[in-house]
This record gives sequence, C-alpha cells and structure tokens, in this order.
Amino acid sequence: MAKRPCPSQNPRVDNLNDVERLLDAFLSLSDLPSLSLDLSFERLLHSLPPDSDLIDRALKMGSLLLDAAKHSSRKRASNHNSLAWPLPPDLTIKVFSMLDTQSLCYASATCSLFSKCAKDPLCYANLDLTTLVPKVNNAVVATMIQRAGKALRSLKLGVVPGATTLGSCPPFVCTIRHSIVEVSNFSWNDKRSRQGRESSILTRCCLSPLSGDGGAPGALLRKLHLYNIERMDNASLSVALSACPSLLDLEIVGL
Amino acid sequence: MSEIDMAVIKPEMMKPYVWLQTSDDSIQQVEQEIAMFCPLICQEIIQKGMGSSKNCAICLPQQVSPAMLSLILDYCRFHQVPGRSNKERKSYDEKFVRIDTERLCELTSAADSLQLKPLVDLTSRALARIIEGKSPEEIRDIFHLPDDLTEEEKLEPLRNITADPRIRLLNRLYAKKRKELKERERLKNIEVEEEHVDERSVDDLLSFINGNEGEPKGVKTSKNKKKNRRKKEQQKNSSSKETSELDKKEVNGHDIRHQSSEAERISESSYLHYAEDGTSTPKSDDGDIYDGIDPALKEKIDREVEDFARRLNSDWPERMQELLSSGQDRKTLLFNTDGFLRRHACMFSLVLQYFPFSIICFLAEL
Repeated sequence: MAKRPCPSQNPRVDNLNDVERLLDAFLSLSDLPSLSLDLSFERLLHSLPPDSDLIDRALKMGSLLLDAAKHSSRKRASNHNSLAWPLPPDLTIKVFSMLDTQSLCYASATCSLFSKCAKDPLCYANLDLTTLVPKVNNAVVATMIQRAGKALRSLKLGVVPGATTLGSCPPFVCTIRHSIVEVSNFSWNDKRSRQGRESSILTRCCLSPLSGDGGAPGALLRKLHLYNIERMDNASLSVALSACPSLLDLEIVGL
Repeated sequence: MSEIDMAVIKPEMMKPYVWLQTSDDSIQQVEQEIAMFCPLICQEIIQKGMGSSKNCAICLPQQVSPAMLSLILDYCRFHQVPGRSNKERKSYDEKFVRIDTERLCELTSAADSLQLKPLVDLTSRALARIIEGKSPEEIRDIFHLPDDLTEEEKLEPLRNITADPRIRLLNRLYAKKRKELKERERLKNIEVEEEHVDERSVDDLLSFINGNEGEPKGVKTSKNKKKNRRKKEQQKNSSSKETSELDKKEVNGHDIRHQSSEAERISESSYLHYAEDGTSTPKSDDGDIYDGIDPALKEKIDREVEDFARRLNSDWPERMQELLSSGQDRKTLLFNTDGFLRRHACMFSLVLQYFPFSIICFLAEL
C-alpha cells in the first residue's frame, strides 16, 4: 500500500521482513523535498469513512517510532562517548572525587559514562549536603551515604544561610525518584521513609543510614557537621554518633 | 678505574640520551635524566636495559602522542631541577595546565600511562576545576559529549539552589517558626529568675525526688540545646499521658517535658542544684544561641498574660478561697497536660509574679 518513492539503493533491504521494508520506505520519505506530511495525512483522513481510527493509529505509531528512534539515538551517543572520552574510568573517578557534591551530581546528569563513574564510592568520601533552603531530604542523604559505603570520611548536612554558592548555576529541580529505586535499604512500606521522601525536610532519621550495612559507612567517618536540623532529637543523634567511632570533628548547630 | 670499567661494560648507562617511540611510531632522542623523571621510562631503562639505541627504543604507551610527549618532557625538564622553590613550581604548574580541555584530557591520560603521578594529580585537579560549578548542559558542551540519558535517569539527587520565591517564602516561614519557638523558650528561661523562693527544706526535696524516681514527669533539666529542642518535639508528640498527679514544686515554665530516664537523672541532679541555689537558675545555654526577644512577640505574650490573669481573677475568686484553705501545704506545679498549657506556659510564669495564689489554685484544681 505504501508507495515506494524509488527502488531502495540499499542491498540490505532484501534481508528485511515486510514491516522493516515498509519502515524503510516511509523513512526515506524524509528525503523528499516537497514532503508535507500533514497535508497528506489530512487528505487520507478525508478519503476514509468518518469513523476510522486513523488519528489514533497515527498517534500510536508516531510515538512508537519516536521512542525507538530516541532509544537508538541514546545508544549512539553512548558509543560515541565511550570512544571520545579520553580518560580511563579510574582517572575519571579520580577527577570526580575532587569535585564537591553538587558538581558531582551535575556531572552525573551529563551522560551515562559520567553517571556510571560518579557512582563510585570514592567520589562520595566528602559529602557536603548543606543548602540555603531546606531541599535535601532523607532519601537523598541515604542514597549518598549508601554510595559512599566505607569511603565516607566527612558529612555535612543541614540548612546554612549563605552556604554553597555556585553562582552561575541555573536552578535545577531536585527530585530523587531514580535514586530511591536504587536504595535497597528502604522498605516501601516504611511510613517513616516515605514521609522523608515526600517532604523536603530532614527528619530525625536522616542519619540512620550511618548505622546501616553493619555500620560500615559510619565506621570511618571523621567529620560530621549538622546545621539547623530542626527535627533531630537526642535518641537519633546518639544512635548516629554511636555508629561513628572514628569521629574527630563534630559540629552541631541549631538543634 | 672502576668508572672506565663501567663505561666499557655498560656504555648505555653513561650516555645521556634515550630513545623513545611514541604512538605514531616516530622515535625521539631525549636526555636521559629528564626522561628518567617518568617512572615507566625509568623502569624500562633499568630493568630491561632498553632505550640505548634507535633499535631498542622504549615503546611508550599508545596514549602518548608526540605532542603529549613534548609537553610531558617540558614538565619533567622543569621539575627535575632540584633548585627550584615551591612557589616557582606552583606558578609553573598553573601556567602549564592552561591549555584547552581536549589536550588537558589527553595529557592526563598520557601522564597516567607513564605513571607520572604528580602530573596526573595536577591535570586531574585542573579538570575538576573545569567541571566544578557547571550545569550538565555546559559540561556536555565543554567535553563534546552528547546526552544519552533518559528523562528518569536525569532525576538524580540534585540540589536546588534556586532563587524561587516560593522557596524563599518557605524558608522565611521556617525561620519565623523557629524563632518563635526560641522566643518562647527564652521567655521561660527569663521567668525562671523571678521564681518564688522554694520554701521546703533541702531534705524534703531530696526525699521527694528519691521517692519519685519512677515517675519522670516534671523535673528540671540541665540546660542543653538539644534537650530544649527535643522538648519541643516531644511536647508536640506526647499527649495527656504526661499528666501528672504528683505534687511537684513549680520550677520553671519549660522544665517538665522530659520522659527519658537519662533526662530524669540529669534533671534530678540539676534540680538539687537548683534547690540549693534557691532562685538562681542554671545558666541557660540557650541564651547563647537565641536572638534578642522579638518585641512584637513579647508584646503579644504580655497582652495574653494580662488577659489570662484578668480572666483568672474574675472566674475563680470562690475557688481561690476554697483551695487556699484546703491546700495550704500543697504546692502544685505547672505541668504539662496538653497543648494549651504548653503554649501558655510562659504566660503562667509571668502571671505567677502578678497573681501567685491564683495560679496555684488554678493548677490545684487541675
């Protein structure tokens, strides 16, 4: 039914099945200089009986094609990156470990190569999660601590007016859905953790990941600074501190 | 003598040059002592005796192109001279890494393959400085890396440092609320200083405390920022189970919220301290962190107190008489029954100075 604009030059076409040939033909339409797909679609629509579901079909097929193309485009980009990026992974990780926490997050949102390297524990040795406004919540803290694992050496948490000012950064909305999927420690039925996820506030359980994993993250923690965590209470704080036997530098402001 | 022997036996050791082969198979002649700065080359020369002539040139890793090699050799040439000061070296390094990003990356890679750790550190730090403070889009531009993440994958824990007015408003609300709570605490602290004198003897108090070991309701705590904060939390959470039937001396507007045994013990000791000192109040740590009283808030509280006092005096005259006669040696305490009391705890303490009997009777009633 589809008109083949010209016999395909491509020898591979013979090995394809019908669907693929149709697709090939359709896509080669993009070479047509006089293509006006919307007009052709309208005309086809009018030629059919009014109750045809052409529009819905077009929507469906269009989105399927778009998704497939996006997927392949991402794969192509990944390939390109793995060839173009000159540093081996361990060097990349070394560079990332010299970044502050926010830049690390931005870097990991750049491409999948960076994202993979940014998940290495060495990059999370010094966590600085202080913000100007309450924005970091329990789940974020938990993810980061979990990623740090044994490499965690210093942790700064809370709301500090005049904190990390990276001037030229455009605002980025903070959501942590992806990271939650990775956090295997959380039980989805745990009301506490769910509350922590939905709000932007650090609750008193925010330091509980330090005791997780058999206390591995807290064991080598040297520096802990907490600023203005309103909901922190004695019990949780003492639990957290008892999970950090190597603590050398402790600063708590605004409790 | 031995020197000549050495020269005969191992002529390559005396030669000042080594031969290096780079990734494009071109061979260069380089001064030995400079090349030896690179651990890999050093290793090749010493362990394998390579590099003495064109034929057995040391094959450098493929990350090392001729351009990179010359850069690295420049670096080595500068740094292997022992007589340079740290300042000189530092400024040289700064200038050295001012190259375009692509070459910087290549250089890092090449230095790493030659195991030249100082240069690797230097270049890595330079790269980190480039990445720092940039948005993902900018990073992608700099390194020419097309985006290959799906929308969900991008939702990593990023922090919002926006100047969104809603966030600012929220922040202001938080700050205000926090301040309010602090003010209340502060007021209560101040009122402690005007407490009425404890008329019971020390022994009395001691026995009272010891007898009430198991009932941790209204005891004064040692000043502790954390505890004060926690008190506020607890008071929000706990409910009427805090009601105490005990008769305890009213000490302070904010003392009675602790339910942990730890607080209990500390509070007992500090209570003793308080009892001995009479009206002195343990120095409030809170004072250090609290701001000056917000005058508007203070006014509001003053007004509330006056209101309350008026109400008290008008509603309870008969009961006052009644209770006065019956409960003479019963001193009641201000204790924590519900939010109303808590919220107006500071008012109670203020009222106490104005209408001591009325408040006591009122509380006895409860």
